[in-house]
Amino acid sequence: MSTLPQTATAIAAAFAAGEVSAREIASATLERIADRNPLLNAYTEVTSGRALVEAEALDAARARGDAIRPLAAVPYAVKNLFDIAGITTLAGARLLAANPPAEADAMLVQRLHKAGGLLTGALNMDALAYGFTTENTHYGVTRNPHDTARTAGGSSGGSGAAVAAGLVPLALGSDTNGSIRVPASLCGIYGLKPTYGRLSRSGSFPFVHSFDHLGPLAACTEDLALAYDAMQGTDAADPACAQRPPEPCLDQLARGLDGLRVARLGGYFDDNAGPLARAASRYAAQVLGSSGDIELPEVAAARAAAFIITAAEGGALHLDALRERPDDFEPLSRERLTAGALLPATWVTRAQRLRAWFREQALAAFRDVDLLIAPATPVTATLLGQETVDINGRMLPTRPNMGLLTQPISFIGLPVAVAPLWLEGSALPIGVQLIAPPWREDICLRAAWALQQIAVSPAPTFPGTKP
Amino acid sequence: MKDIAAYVDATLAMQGLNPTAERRAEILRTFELLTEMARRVDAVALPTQSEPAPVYRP
Repeated sequence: MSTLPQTATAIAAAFAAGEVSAREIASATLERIADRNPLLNAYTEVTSGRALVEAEALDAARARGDAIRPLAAVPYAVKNLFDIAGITTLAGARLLAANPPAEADAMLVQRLHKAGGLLTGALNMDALAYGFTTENTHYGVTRNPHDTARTAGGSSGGSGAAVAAGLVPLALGSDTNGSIRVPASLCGIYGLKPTYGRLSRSGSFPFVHSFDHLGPLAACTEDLALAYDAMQGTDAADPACAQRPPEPCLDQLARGLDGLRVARLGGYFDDNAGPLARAASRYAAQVLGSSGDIELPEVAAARAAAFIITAAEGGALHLDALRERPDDFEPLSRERLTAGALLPATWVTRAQRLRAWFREQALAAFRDVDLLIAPATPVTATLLGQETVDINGRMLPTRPNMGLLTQPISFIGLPVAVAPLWLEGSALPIGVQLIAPPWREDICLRAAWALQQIAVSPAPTFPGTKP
Repeated sequence: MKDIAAYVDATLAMQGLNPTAERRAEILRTFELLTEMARRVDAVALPTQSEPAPVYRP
């Protein structure tokens, strides 16, 4: 082919049609990464050899007449908290750099491999997933492809930047308090945080067991659904993974909003959103046919409870290392982890009780609607090194507050897709959260697909290009 | 905030943590923020029947 396909669905279709070889796709992808990654610092390790071996195996299988797999020849990369056989799992932390290499791939990497994906490498992140800006003291900052002076978001910032810059059409990230949704919003791409317990976390480095989710980021909803469908399935090795059969979504996308009752979240989600974020959620509500605004009760308390549980579980997880090797920690999050290790049990228990109560309030709201809309981030991408951010006249610390709008939703494990919007007058994208009841990822993805048909949805960009 | 500082110093010692003075100051600032968060959670009147969220499945 003279021009190689760019999206995951187009690559898989072209490979199936015999129009392109996996080797061609792998080589072109690796060239792109070599060309663009030095500026962006999205990758911490490029697995060139593995991608080429996987590609050659696919080409050989096709030549034999084997069945074509759904993600055949699709290049992807994973946040460096996923185990990759033969590579040390860093989770963004120098603290873990001396650990032995992983013996096997994480479960989701195994599933993408089985589906025919080409693994191109491991992606940068905030250390131990505790941050929203991917400003990593030990492995460098990851830059936003739309403005390299700005953050790609975090903690899955490498995943956001790699997809937004067109290095790969698909990446995996993790989301504890917003770490898929924040980079998706700031990098102008799509992201899916499935229901808590939907996708297996086995073989990934944990942060907060109560809230840890894994999921895909992609440049379009079709690619997001293709990857999500390939990764579903039970896994006894992850105690939180639900015993639910796969519920494929790709063939549901074109149903769009058919029959869905839509509302916009107001109150807290307006009060903690800047003007552009509010405009984005209002625009999405308008084009998706929202019947009006609703409010959930006590959202600020829910966010506070998520903050407490995060600090407590994160601090407890790393307490031994905080005692023995404090100098090896990321200085930007070390003291938050340390303070978390000091919390009284009564605070944590109370926060977990609030979690169950808040879930009931959200489920009650879903009796009348199928989809809730909210901004994904309070503002567009901030400058690297920016310590504070103005949110409606309040100057707040940047790093913990980019998750103000995502944290209350992951707190109760609801599925969320983020769709990017480029509003008139803004040089930078901002995302909206499309939130559904538990186990209804199909609704999130259908709404994201519907928004993709209507809203400006630019192709991946690289510094110097504009959508 | 004297009480909070005393609590932080006592629990740091109890947990076997011995941060530098600069780190202790940042830990204290963070703990004060967490205290504000805990007060916000405490302010919500929960029914006695509301159980903690995690469910252990044997």
